[in-house]
Amino acid sequence: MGRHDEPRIVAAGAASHAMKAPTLRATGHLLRSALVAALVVSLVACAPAIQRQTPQLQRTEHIPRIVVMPIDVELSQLTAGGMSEPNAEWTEAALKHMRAALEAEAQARNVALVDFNPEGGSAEDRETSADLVKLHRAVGSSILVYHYTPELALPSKQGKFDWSLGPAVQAIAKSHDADYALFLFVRDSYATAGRVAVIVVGALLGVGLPGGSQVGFASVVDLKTGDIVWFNRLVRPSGDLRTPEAAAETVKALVSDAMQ
Amino acid sequence: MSFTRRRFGCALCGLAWLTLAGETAGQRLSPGEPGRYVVPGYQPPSETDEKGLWSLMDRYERDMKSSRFVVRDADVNAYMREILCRLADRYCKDVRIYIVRTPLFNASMAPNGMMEVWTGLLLRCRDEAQLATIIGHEVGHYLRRHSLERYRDARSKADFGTFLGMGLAIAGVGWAGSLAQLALVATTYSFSRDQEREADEIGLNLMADAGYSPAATAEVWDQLLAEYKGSTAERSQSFLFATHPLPEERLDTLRKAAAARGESGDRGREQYHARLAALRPRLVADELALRQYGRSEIVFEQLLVDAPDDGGLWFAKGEVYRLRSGAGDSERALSAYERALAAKGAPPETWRSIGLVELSSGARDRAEKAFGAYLEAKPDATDREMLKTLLAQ
Amino acid sequence: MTRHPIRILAVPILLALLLGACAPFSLITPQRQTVGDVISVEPGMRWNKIEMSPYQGKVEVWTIDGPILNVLVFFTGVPDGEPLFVSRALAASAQQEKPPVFRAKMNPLEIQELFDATIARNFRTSIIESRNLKPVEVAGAPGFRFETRFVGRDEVERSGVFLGTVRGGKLYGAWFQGARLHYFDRYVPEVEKMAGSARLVGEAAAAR
Repeated sequence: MGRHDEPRIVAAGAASHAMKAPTLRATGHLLRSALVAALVVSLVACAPAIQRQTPQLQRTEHIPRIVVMPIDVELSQLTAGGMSEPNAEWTEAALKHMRAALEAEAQARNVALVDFNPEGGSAEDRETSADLVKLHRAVGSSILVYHYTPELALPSKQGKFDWSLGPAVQAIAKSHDADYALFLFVRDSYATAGRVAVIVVGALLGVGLPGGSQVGFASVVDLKTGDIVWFNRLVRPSGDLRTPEAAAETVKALVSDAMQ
Repeated sequence: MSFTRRRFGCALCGLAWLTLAGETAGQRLSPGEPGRYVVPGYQPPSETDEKGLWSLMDRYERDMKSSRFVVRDADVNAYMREILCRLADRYCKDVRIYIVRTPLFNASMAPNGMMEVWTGLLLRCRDEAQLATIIGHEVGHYLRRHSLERYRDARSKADFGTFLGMGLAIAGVGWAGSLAQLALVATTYSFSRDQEREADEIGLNLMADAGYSPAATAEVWDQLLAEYKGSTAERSQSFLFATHPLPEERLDTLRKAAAARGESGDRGREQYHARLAALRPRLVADELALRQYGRSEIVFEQLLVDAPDDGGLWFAKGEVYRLRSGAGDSERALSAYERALAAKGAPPETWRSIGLVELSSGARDRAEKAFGAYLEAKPDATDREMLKTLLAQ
Repeated sequence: MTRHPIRILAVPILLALLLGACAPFSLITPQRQTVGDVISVEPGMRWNKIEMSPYQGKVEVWTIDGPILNVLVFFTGVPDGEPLFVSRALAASAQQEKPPVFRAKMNPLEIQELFDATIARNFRTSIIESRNLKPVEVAGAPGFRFETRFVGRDEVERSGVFLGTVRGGKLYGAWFQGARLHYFDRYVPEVEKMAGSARLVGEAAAAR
């Protein structure tokens, strides 16, 4: 069940700072995809994927300690019918590979990682932490929709990247003795053999179909203020989290220079 | 209207697909029959699709544990476990029950032993035996790994998309992305007729063996049917009935099957009311918030048959009329509130509601008296100032 | 209907493209202005008006960080027989049952109940609680306020404050809600100030 490598029109909304311009086809069906592709190219130019609010992590007093929040990753198979079917084995493997890749990155950058412990701290801390994870999903979604899509920009922000979880994050700082929190979110789908077949046939008939994609974001939260000091969006048609090497590449693309 | 927090569909379709249970009356299925049931402590072999399904459900269950929609009351949860262990004690540790705050009648069982019971179901069951019917039925699905069977069946038929669509249509997808989505599919797609019949039989046997009265089984469905029939205006919104039609002859068959096993056994009515007493006001409020007046009226009437002296239930009935505020509803509401006050345990809000109805009819003096009684009974009422202002106007 | 980001992006992008120049948000600058021709307010900071309002009804909706995180709903004269609002998602799902509606003769306690039922229905949650109903002046007229709290299906708890007044049989006012963690606290001072600056104008002012 490998990824297919043919040129294809990417699914609506897909963009990437690393992708090539898609091939355009002149059928009515694909007008929509073409529009999106054009948009995609323009998005690449307009919205830098990485938002950095501080030049680097604070390193004055000690090595920065980063809490790795539960990695929200899910790998799915894209079936012939176009349904996304999560695969538990792949997901479990991806979690392991990603965590290992993060560790390697952290060591290279001289940063200490500590895994989020949901049982840490007082009962109130635990509940606050759980609520913060849920809030982060909401904030992350808001960033993806309202910051990275020029048409949906919030005019009041005037292009500024100004998003936060608020000072309640100090509960996590306290219970983990940490300075920052790292959130990762990845949804990754792979075309099944059946899907590849459909795509190939489709290509022959001049119909483009999404073959699978990798979508994610990573954010670094300052655990003093709750401000998101670093954020990266990853949307691309390629990438593989099922093997350690490929997962390391994805993590690199995702996490990039977050830990500098 | 779909209230599901997670996506639950079909678990209680036992009645919908019930066939002539009489045919199998002679074959008592008992847990532990080799090769037919999972063994206690069962875990699927790794590298199998079943293992994959379980792992997914495990992840979903982790989310569930921190969900705001799960009722965490220690005593209520302990009570659920008591019933579960009484029914299926060797499997008691393999099944976890989560009570989800959704005011609709439903329950379901995931492949990994995670059971959900919605609070709408807890409100509608009238005694412990009725709840045991449901729990036993769900345990039946677990013992026979029906979820896995259907999952494989669907995959092989490439019907997955259909399931997904159906599941989503039934449930209303939450935020949590495709993990929850598959969790949805794994737990909500229709069981086949045979599977429902099996779960019913197993449930019935578990109940009878545990000393519950099998008569409770048919009653649950009788009650639901009455609710459905009585609420024509809201029928299209009935979650359960939209997806699982309940022909009367099937209910009849179930009655016969239950009768074949005898009537005697525990009902546990008092215990059921006592153990859920602390939760009930919330269940009632959640039901009222749906503003499904016809259905709610029937539900409360049914409950009042068992507990005519329950002031909380009379208050609830009054609220239905007050909120509906149709022709003649003021009188109906006041009448119900009066019964509430004469009965036991009417909440202080009864006075408040009387005041609201009286005020709305222009009877200021009576409204004043009622609000006064409310504020006396509930000195910490946070709308005290507002009530005083209303009267002053 | 996966809700992962790629799908979340797809619809708004296409929608934006197809609708041409119609931008989903317009800037609200910190100066006195009139909402819905009936409520005059003076925001103290920049807001965003949501042109493609997520709620149908006699409402105008503003936000600062996007409607997932905070929302200010102005009620610009809800008439007798209409619901407070109906979310587009709910409206699109072709529900046949009738929503609970506002009645001109409702008192604030009943309006608060109506609000709870509206939230329960539109956000599909049972975890909704309104409290501390008090009489206050709203936009220069006798009115009421109460605090709101609900947990949506995304498990995020949202705090809120509702201010209202009934004039000439119609409901005017506003409801501000934001995530309990950070977002509500951050902007409620601005909302309170704006509320203090509010005045009824137009047909709302003329009514009694």
